[in-house]
Amino acid sequence: MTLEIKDQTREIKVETGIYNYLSADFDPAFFSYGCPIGHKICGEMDEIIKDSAKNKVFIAIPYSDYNYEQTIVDLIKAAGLEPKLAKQKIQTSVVLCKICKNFRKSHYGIVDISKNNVNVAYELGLMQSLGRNCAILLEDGVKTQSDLQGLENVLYSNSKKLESELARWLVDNVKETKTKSLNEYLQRNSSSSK
Amino acid sequence: MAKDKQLVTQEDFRSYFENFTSKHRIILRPDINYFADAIVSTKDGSLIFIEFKEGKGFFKYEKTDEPIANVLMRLPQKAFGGNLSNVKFGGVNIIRERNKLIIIKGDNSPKAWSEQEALNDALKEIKSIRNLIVHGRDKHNDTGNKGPNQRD
Repeated sequence: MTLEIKDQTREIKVETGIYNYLSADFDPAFFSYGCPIGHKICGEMDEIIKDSAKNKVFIAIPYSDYNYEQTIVDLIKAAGLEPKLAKQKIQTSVVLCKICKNFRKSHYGIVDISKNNVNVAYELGLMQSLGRNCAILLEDGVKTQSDLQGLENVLYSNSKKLESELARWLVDNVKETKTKSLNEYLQRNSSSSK
Repeated sequence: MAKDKQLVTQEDFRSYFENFTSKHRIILRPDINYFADAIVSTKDGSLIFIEFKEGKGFFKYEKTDEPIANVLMRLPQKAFGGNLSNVKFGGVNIIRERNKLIIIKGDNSPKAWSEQEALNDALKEIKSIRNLIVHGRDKHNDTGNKGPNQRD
């Protein structure tokens, strides 16, 4: 008589020591294998793991007709963090793949939804699905798309206000922020504009 | 004349192995590598035997006329002991033993070792190992069923 063994799992004294990497550094974000361009296997994972850092901040803003890019980048740098923009490095890979790779390497996001830009909203959705804490910037008086209305925003009316509000968000939400260096930067900026 | 059933080839198995490891790599210590033997039985079933240890790693492919249960008898594992000549494997069976992983499938066609199967198997493995580490599970059978010939 034949005995069938089907869909069984057996474990005997599994050496968990060989899986040290998981317990020490495992980032649940890598566990999401949803690929925006539909690849079943992410070919970028080695690079993502190698370059991933807690001080990296992905910036999702419109590529044109946007006046605050430099303000945000300078502030991030002053806070001792590393800004990542999808357009920083021109590569041949599909744009979405490049963007996805960049925010998977980043632990935080800054997203400006003031222009109701579809790409920016999509990037915000992807980052939130990966569990990234994002500052959602919104210019005073702008009405956002209905799905984004319930989100807490960092409100601003000009670059000075953006700078101070975003700095406050960084201090409250990004523990890698170098507060002293950030405050010095803000003070310098404020005295030079007087 | 009936067409012969297609067997999983070395290329199919290698592609499965590469896809599996590209995902699975995430949970393995960086200094540990994959030493894999992929064995397909012309009679029934197929398996991949992976040992995780330091070193360069390898992938080998073997086609045999032995039933897959007999192949299992000659592998260094204790999960299935005794005479397995009356045993037939179905579905996907997993053995995690010390630093080894054996995936045994009742099917010996390319479909059983496709790119999609690599993804499924790797994800299942990652989740199980994660649970094992988090909950400290050791000797355990996911089916809740000890099954025949298990050697403790």
